[in-house]
Amino acid sequence: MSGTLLAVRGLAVEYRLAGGGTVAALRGVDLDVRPGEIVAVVGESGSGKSTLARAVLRMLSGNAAMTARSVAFTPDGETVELTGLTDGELRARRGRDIGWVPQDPGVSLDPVRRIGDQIAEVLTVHGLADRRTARRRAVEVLASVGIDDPQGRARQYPHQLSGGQRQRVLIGIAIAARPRLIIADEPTSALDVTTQRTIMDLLVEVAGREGSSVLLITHDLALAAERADRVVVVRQGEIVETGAAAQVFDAPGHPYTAELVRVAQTLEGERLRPARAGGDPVIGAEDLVKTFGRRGSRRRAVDGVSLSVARGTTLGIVGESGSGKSTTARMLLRLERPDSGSVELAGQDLLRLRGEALRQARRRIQLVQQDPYSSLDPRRTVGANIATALDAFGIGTRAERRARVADLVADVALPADVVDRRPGELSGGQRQRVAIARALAVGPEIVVLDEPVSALDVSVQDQVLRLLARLQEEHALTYVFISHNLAVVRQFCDEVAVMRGGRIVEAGPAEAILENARHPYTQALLNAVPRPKQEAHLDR
Amino acid sequence: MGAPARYVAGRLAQGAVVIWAAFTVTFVILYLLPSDPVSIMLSQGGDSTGVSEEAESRLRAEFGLDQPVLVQYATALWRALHGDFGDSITLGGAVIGHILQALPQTVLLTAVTAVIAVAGGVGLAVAASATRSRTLRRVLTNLPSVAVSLPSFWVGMVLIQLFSFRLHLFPALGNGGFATLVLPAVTLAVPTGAVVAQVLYNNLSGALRQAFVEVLRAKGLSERRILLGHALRVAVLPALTLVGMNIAAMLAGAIVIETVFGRSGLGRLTEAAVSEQDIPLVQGVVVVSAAVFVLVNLVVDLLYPLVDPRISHRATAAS
Repeated sequence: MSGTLLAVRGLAVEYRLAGGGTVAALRGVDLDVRPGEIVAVVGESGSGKSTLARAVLRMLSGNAAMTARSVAFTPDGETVELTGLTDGELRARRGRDIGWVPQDPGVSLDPVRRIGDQIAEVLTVHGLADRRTARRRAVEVLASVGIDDPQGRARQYPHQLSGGQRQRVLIGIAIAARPRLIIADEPTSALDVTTQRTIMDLLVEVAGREGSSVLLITHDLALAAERADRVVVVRQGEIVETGAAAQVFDAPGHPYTAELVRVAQTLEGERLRPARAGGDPVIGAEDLVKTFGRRGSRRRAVDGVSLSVARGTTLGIVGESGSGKSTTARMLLRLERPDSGSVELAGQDLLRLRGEALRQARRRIQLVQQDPYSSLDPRRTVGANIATALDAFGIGTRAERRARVADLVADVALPADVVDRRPGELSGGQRQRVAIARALAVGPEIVVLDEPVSALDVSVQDQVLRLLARLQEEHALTYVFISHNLAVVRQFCDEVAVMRGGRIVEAGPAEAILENARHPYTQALLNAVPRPKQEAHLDR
Repeated sequence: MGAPARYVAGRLAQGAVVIWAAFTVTFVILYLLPSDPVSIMLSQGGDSTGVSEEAESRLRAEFGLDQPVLVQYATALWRALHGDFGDSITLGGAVIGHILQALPQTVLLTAVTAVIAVAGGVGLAVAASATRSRTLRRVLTNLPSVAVSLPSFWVGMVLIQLFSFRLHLFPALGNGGFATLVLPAVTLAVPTGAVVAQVLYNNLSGALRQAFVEVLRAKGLSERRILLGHALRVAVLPALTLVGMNIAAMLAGAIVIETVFGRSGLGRLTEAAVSEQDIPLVQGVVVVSAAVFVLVNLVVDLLYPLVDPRISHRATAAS
């Protein structure tokens, strides 16, 4: 077993369900992590990859039962069998020999403790330093994870830091005791794309500096292939493929891996439909401005945005959270009233419409929201959800409405029997299809798609995007597509507008912008998209 | 003026409005009552028929009761602003004197009660969160709902039975020293402590389910350290609010408790004033109680930022 830092053999985890019975989350998993190595565990939600990460530290929830032939951990030449340790013995290993980087930095720090104290606690709890030394060391750790003014920041609270800074602090907590192994569970998926890259850079860098190994849990095969030495693909609780990163990406051995590679969001994938030039504009906005907040803390969310979308094309609005892209979309829908500026919908001034004329105008433009888990009424059937707008506009008789709903369900490629089921019984991808059917029910010309696939697994994303492309063709739809993900925008949009700080910083045909970005911010967004390693690197 | 000072000034102004509202509402209610101070005073002599109409209207004029209601209200408000609630009808002497004499006993009782309620409530909630035994947890988490439903006069009598008459540990009645405080304070603390325990337990369970707890586990902290060192502070804020709000309930509870335990104090005074329809005294007690309530809740609000740094009074003061 020499030369292996962590050797997992025959790991199985079962969850007891509330209604009795069990469900297997992991079956017969073998995994090796060598010293200094970055191993990525890749899988979609529900594949068991997070369970694997927690099982190593025995941090599973109360309803989980874990068995393993062996979990051998060799931090300093001496092998410890983790499964044989008592709770207290294992606690002494957590944080000291194995560091943990969680998924969502927004909720992963104690909100009422100073961040310096939270780092220092790792050292004091393991008796590695007294209180004063630990405090001083915490400041050094903050500096080493790239926090500016570490002395001052150490005295701040988590809410005073940005998401990226918090993740740096959490990486600091993970490395404070110089562990041999760092387990990172989706460490960047809750961050903005440009921050994602710098945080991944940091994680890889500090691990390299300390000679620590990293077990990286991710849903993103492209990210795994870019960063890891070896990739382990998990599906339904079992490992389907293990290999060097470049090999798994370039020559996948398992059909599931091949599918993940095909849909991996890189800038090399093919377009879902040929780009088309615009005809006459069907919706346009002139100099939109929207300010939020009260006196003293006013913030311009949208600051002079003008755009126009030609009939039958797709405009992608790209930007990070807080860039104003969703607010712009909401003003196009007149869900939000701009402070100034105008919106023209099919020749009508949308902001001047009132009452019945406004109501009728709403039939022309519909919305699909990001999170299909909260955008459908959970108490009503799928059919009733889809029929909402039909009912509101009094379209057709009851029988006709039922027939229309059945057509829509078939149109979005859902089985006919979903009509009588509730949203809770459907998967995320199915729910998003329902939301699309609901938007199409009243026959709109324009559909605003606000991050329509961001909450979905990548393979499901691909299916939904293909569906949207087909529907656009069949119904001559015009799309406004809000996204933070340039890889998706590249596949899907004809025109692109890049937003930052409430302004459009760059706009034009998708191909031109993405091939030849001129604005540094667009370039930063492009750089944030993972590029899989083309050949096995032997430099580690 | 600094931001915190501006916040305190704003809150004091709000408090003044609350006290004024309490004064006005009691004034209106007492005015609408069918009897007035003069007829009560006259009926104290037993037979009021002997007093001539003339004497009665002279008395009314003396108390200003022949004035229009708005003038009466303005006069009373102006006097109250100067701490003058008039003379007690039944006890004689200035109302404010009686209140100031009774107040320290009740404030002491309420303070000791609050300490016992917090200690008991926090202890119960922490024990219920920490225990590994499911049965014990179920017992501990069901205790508060039982405790809340016990009437306090009954709890008081049971405690007197047990600790005074059987065990002779504490005196049953009176105001003499700390020993006499224990039983009434415990009795009065039961409902508040129960609610604190219930709310804190729920918040602790919620806090322990939050994502940051997983990071604490991954750091190698023991469950006890996670609970006491981290989760408790995150969870304690709503319980703190509750204690502030319950000060009013404790003042009201003092009416029953002071009667049961034969203590003198604001509760006893209120009970006497209401049953004798001593209108000026009732008015005074209500205003002073409102002032105490406002003050306690201001202190609680000022404690918030110390417990939770996310709360800053700067933001509230700006709006």
